[in-house]
Amino acid sequence: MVEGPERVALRRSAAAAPAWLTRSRLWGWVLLALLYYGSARFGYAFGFSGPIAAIVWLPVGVGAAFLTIGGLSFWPGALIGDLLADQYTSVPVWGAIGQTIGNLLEVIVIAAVVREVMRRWSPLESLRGVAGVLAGICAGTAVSAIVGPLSLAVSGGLSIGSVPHVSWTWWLGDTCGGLLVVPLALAWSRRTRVRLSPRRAVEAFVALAVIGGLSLIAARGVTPAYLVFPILAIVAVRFGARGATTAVFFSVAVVVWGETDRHGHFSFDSFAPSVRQTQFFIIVLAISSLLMTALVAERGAALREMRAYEERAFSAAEAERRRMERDLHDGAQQRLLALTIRFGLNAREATSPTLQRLFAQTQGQLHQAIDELRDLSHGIHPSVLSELGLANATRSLAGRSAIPVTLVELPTRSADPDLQAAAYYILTETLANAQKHSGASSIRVRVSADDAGLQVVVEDNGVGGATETAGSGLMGMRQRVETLGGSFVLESPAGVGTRVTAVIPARVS
Amino acid sequence: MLVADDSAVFLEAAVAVVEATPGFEVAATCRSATRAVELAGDVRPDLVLLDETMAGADPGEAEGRIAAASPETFVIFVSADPRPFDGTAPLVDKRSLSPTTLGDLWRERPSVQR
Repeated sequence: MVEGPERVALRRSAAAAPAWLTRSRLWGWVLLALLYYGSARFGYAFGFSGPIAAIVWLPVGVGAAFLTIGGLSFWPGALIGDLLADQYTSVPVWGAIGQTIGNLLEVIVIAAVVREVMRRWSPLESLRGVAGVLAGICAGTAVSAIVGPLSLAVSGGLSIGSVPHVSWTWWLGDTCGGLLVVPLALAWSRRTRVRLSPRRAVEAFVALAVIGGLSLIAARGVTPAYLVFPILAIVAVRFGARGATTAVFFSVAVVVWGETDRHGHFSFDSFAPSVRQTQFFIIVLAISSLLMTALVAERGAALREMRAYEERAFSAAEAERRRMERDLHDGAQQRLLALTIRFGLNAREATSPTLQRLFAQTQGQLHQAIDELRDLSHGIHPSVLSELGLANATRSLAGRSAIPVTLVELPTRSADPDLQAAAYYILTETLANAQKHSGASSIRVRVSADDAGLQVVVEDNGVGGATETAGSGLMGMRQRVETLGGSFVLESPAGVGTRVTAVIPARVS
Repeated sequence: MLVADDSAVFLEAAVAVVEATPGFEVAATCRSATRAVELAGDVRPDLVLLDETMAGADPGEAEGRIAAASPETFVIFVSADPRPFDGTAPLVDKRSLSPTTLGDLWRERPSVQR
C-alpha cells in the first residue's frame, strides 16, 4: 500500500488533537455537546428530520467525526449532546434512555473502527480505507438502529410490529448522517493549507454553482437528481477528498431541503417512500463519490511511486555507467597507452625495414584500439562531463565534429549530473547523425540551463527527411529524454535540414 | 624532472620514456596533483609531466600553483583524453608521448623563445 504524505498527515492530526482541546478534556466535552446538540437542532430546523427517524441524522456524523479526530475519550460530550437533543417529552423515559445509549454506542463504534482503519490506511485516499470507513459507519449505525427502536418498543412507545420498519428507516437516516459528515470532517481535519490559484478558485466556484443549481432543479422535481453525478465525479478528480466531500454535502443539503418542502423529485405519493428515495440517493451519492476519490488518489500515488522508481532506476543506471567509464579509463585505457609508448620506445631500436614496418603496423593497431576504447567510454559516460561540465564537454564535442559547429549558446551553470548526461548523449547522437546522414555544411548548437532544466537544440542545414524508426538513435534519444519527464521534438523537412529540440526538466526533490 | 600520474602503469611507462630521452632524468614521481605541487616546490624540477585528468576540473589552476611553487618549472600536460582547458602549458595525447615529442616541447618552451 502506498504511504502518501496525506496519510501520514491525517494520522498525525488524528493522533494529536489541537492543543487547546487537550489542555482540558472538559472543553472538548462542552464543544462536542454543543456541536452535537447544534447539529440536531439544525436538522430539526431545516426539516432534515421526520417524525420518528431523520432523513439525515447529522449528530451521528458530528459525534463520530469528533471522537475519530479528537479521541474516544471525548464520549461524554456526545452523551451530554444527545441528552440535550433528545425529545424526552414525546417518548417514554426508558425508551429515550435506551435510545441515548444506542446513539452513544453508535458514535463510539464508528470512531473506534475508523481510527483503527486510519492506523493502517488512508481513510479517504485508499480503497481499503474507504471500505473500512464505510464498514465502521454501517456497523455503528446498525447498533443504534437496533437498540433505539427496540428500547422504544419495550417501553411502549412503539408497537413491536413496526420495529423492523422503523429500524430500517432509522439506520438509513443515521447512515446518511455518518456518510455526509465523517468523510467531510476527515478531509478537512488535515492541517494542510488550501492554496487555490485564481483559476482553480473560479473552477471550484463554478463546480459548486453547477452542483447547487442541478440539485435545486432536482429538488424541485424538474430533472432527475442523478444529473449531479458527473459533476461530482469531476470534482473528485480535480479537487480530491476535500472537494468531493464538500460537494456531496452541499448537493445533499440542497436536495434534502427541497425534499422536505415536499415538492422535490423524490416525493411520489406518500412521505415514507419519498424519504427512502432521498436516503438511497444520499447513500449512493456519498459512497460513489468516496470510491471515486479513493481511486483517483490511489492512481495519483501509484503514478508518483512509478515516477520515483523510474528516477531511481535511471540514477542507478547512470551511476553504474560512471563507474564503468571510470574503470575503463583507469584500467584498460591506461594500460594500452603505457603499452603503446613503451612499444614506441622499442620500435626505435628496430633496424631492418621489415621489422620497422611490423612495428609501425602494430603501433597503428594499438592506436586504433585506444581510439575505440575512448569512444566506448565516452558513449558510456563521458568523464569530460563530470570533470569539466556540460559547457566544456559541448565545446570538446564541437571541436571533434567534421562539419563546422556554431555554438550559439552554452550553459552558464551546472545542472543535475543525470540531466547533463542525457543532454550530452543528445549532442553526441545528433552530431554523429548529422555527420553520417545530413550532408550539411554547418551545424548550430544551443544548450541552455536554468531553474526549469536543460534545453538542447541542434540544427543542421542538410538534406533533412530524418524519421524515428524503432531502434534508431532518434528513438533512443526520445526514450532517454522522456524517461526524465522531458520532451523531444524532431523536425526534419526534406531538403531544409534537421532540427532536434530536447527539453529536460529539472528534478523536484 | 617530475612525473605525476595517478595510473601506476602509465607512470612507469612515462618514466621509461623520460629515461630514454637524452639529457632528461626523473628526479621524482608522484600519484596526485597536490603532491606534484608540493614536490615542484621541493625539487624545483626543470620540467613537470602532469596528467591532465588527474589535475581535476581546472588544469590551468594546477599549472598556476606549480608556477607559484617553482617559477622556473615548465609544465607539460599529458592526457588519455585531451580536451581544451584554460592554461598556457602544452597538452600531449598520452599515446604520442615519446622522447621526440618530449625533446621538441622542451626546445620550444616559451622561455627559450623569449
